[in-house]
Amino acid sequence: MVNQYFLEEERLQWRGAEDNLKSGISGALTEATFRRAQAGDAEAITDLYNHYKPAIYRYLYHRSSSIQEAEELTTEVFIRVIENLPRYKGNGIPFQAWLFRVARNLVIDHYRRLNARQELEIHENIVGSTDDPEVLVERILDAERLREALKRLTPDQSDVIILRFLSGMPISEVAQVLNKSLGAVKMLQSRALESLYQMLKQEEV
Amino acid sequence: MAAQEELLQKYLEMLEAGASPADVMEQARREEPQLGPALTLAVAMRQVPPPPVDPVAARRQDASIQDFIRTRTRPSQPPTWFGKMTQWWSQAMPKPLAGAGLALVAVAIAAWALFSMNPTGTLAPEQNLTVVQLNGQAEAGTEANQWSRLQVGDELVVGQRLRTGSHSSVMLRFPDGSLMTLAHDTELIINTLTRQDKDTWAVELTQISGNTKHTVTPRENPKASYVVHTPASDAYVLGTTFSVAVAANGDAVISVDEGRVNVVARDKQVALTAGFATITKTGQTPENPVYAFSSHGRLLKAKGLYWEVDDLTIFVSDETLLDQDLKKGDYVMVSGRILPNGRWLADTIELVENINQQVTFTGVLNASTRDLWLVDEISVLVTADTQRSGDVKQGDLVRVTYTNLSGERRLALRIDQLEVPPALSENPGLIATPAIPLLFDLSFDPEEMGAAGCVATFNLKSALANNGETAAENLEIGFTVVTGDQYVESVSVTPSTWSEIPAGEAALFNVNVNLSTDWLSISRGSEVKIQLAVVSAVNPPQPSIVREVITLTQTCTPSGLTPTITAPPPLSAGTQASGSASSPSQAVEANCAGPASNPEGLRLANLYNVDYAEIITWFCRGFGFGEIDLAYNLSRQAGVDVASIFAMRQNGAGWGNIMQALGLLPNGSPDSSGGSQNGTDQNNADSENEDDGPPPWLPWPPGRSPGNTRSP
Repeated sequence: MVNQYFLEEERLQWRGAEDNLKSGISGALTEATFRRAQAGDAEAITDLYNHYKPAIYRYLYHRSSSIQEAEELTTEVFIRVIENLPRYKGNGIPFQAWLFRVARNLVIDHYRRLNARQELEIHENIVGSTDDPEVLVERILDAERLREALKRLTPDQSDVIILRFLSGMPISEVAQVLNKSLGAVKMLQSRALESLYQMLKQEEV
Repeated sequence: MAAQEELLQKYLEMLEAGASPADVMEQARREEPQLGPALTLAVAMRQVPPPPVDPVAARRQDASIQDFIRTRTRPSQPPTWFGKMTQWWSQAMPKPLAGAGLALVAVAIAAWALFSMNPTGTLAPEQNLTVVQLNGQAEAGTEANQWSRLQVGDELVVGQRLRTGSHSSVMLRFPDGSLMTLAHDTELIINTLTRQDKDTWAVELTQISGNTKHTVTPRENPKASYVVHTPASDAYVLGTTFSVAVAANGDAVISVDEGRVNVVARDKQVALTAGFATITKTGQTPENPVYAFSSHGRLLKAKGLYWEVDDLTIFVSDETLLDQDLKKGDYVMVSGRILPNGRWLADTIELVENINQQVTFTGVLNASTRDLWLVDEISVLVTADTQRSGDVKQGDLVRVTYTNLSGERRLALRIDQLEVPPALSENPGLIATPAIPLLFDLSFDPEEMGAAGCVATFNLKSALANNGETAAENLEIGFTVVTGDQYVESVSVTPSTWSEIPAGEAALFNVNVNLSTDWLSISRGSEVKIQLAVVSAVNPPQPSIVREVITLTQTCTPSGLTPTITAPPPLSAGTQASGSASSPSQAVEANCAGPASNPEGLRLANLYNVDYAEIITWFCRGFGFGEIDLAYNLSRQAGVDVASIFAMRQNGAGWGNIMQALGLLPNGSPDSSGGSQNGTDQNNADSENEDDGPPPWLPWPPGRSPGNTRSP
């Protein structure tokens, strides 16, 4: 029943998403550009910003309440990153993981200030559930619905889902962003998918 | 549980390694069926599209970051007396004492500086922008997106944003007296407003959307600067009056009323002078300057592609900035560009107060009598009251300000002689610099040619030569019918575009003109004049300068059927351009064939059982695939060599005449196949312009796009 939805085309899409991610985040920005950016070269900093902006915006979109909020947070992330770029030493954390860590800390601070998680409206008007994978996939592809569902996960679970599946980050790098062990992230990944599945299969009014 | 987590990760890694989801799911179903839903979600989430983006907000975000980058990466200044003093102090004093001492000195100097600027200790008011005029609603905001409504007399400081609502405008005055007006639905950031020294200011603005007009006090001191950043380009200004329009997609149009503005994007610069405008599309270099126009009047038609403002027909594109809810009868101001193809393209249309209608446009003075001047084919009445600046001569570039009289006559109120702007050049830096002269020199060869005959179809060959020292790129030829428009059914220029013409080489092209049957019945000696011009190129000359005139003369007599080329084409197919290593025609042929096989060429080669190269050779010599198909078909039917048929065609014979000559057509139906067929196609190709046609006096009517045919 489930298998019928995974056709060759989807396999290619999966690979395509993977390739895009790899070329979009990790691959294209050269070491030289990064070093020039660190040295304060305006053009290199602009390249770095243009390179990582879509990925950071995507992450923040799924972690925030509106497009506007995601855009404002994205700007703030890059202002912080550009400010701190000359001081970035790595210390075992790849730049991309550090960048996402900045974004994650910022969003946590933001919601801590707003205390927004307590104000989230949770829809509880559940009238039934479905196991139909087609319906589940449809719900996943509904960006707004997915975002609402992600808000109902714990922040760590939500981060794992976004970084791992929406941003296509390898699990080892997700562990670096979250500053957790590989085993802990695997557990989070498993539980997050299970929770998300339970949420999405519920039919809301 | 831990085993399940490991298994899940194993399946995910298989997917990431490129395994088929179906295979992975099948394996999971055998090994751990409970993981099915998790894997389903994981695969589905990879297909979630990127989140939506608000383009205007994204540009605002980009502008903020760019502004921040600029502030963080500004080049370091040479050591000042203060720097040298601190260096000496640091060396002379023990470290802890030196630090404390320096802090005290810095505080003292800062306090003195603030006090000297303004005894109250606040920011000196002359460092602000002041709201001097306000219509409707305008707001000022901060980075935190807190907006407050503006009133006349309010002052704005660096870092603030400004925005206007629909049907609104706000005018601001800079400390040096420069003025800036934001039209409706405009947003802008004040990046820098710094006094460099006495009466010298550095101004830096970022325009995110909408339309602004600037009247900038002349900046004689080299330290003074006035820069407007847009998503697509940067405008560097020396004292001038100019406008900036940023479309919804980020494209920026900058036009100059007075003085000079250098427009820079992607290390290329266009120096704009009065009467000219340029567009820069996001991520591209600025386009070459074109004539600017502005007009205000009653909106008589406000739908479709062509709108009417009094008797002026203007083209409205998706990127035109429109005031909200414009409707027929509104009094509006239109600003835009006269494109090389003759379209008067509106960049902005906004509601204004009803004032006497005036139109301003730029063009070349073609001819003049005492009372009547012809500027880019537009006639204007010139009287003793017409103000003139400069000693205007034929061929000069002028800006005409006119008002409409009855009977579609135009009365020139003012005629200004203008400076021709230089072409696109490398960006030499942030400071406005003199123009870089053109390094190439395009010309048609010949510049005038003609053909005479009693036929309805003329085929001519010509060439566009680059006599300069550098390659000309991205060239495009356009045409207009100067006289005899009513007889012209179609004109096609093939090819009409080239990615490059190297220095010292020429590109050949064919011009095919199909005339109506009426042409054959009018008086002998009647003429049709067609003008060709280079309408776009990278680093082009002015569009009006490089032109070729073709004159077709009707010579119908009982025996006259074959046209005679009165000015032979300079370069026949295969002729080598002087000074070039390879044949330009070969280069053009290679270009026209393209790197990949043409499917239509292949089809014809198969159909007529000839080599593909043979078909493409005819195509590269200017024959369309339809014509090639027809020629081979006729050749098979009549048993005549196909080259003879193409030769007849090349000599100007219509397909009807050829078929008649081959004995394939009954008597009494001349040119009834190819010509009319072409005409039908051409009608279809351009039918969308029929309802919204331009006024008849436009020099380059719409619908005559280069390389395409059209019908009147």
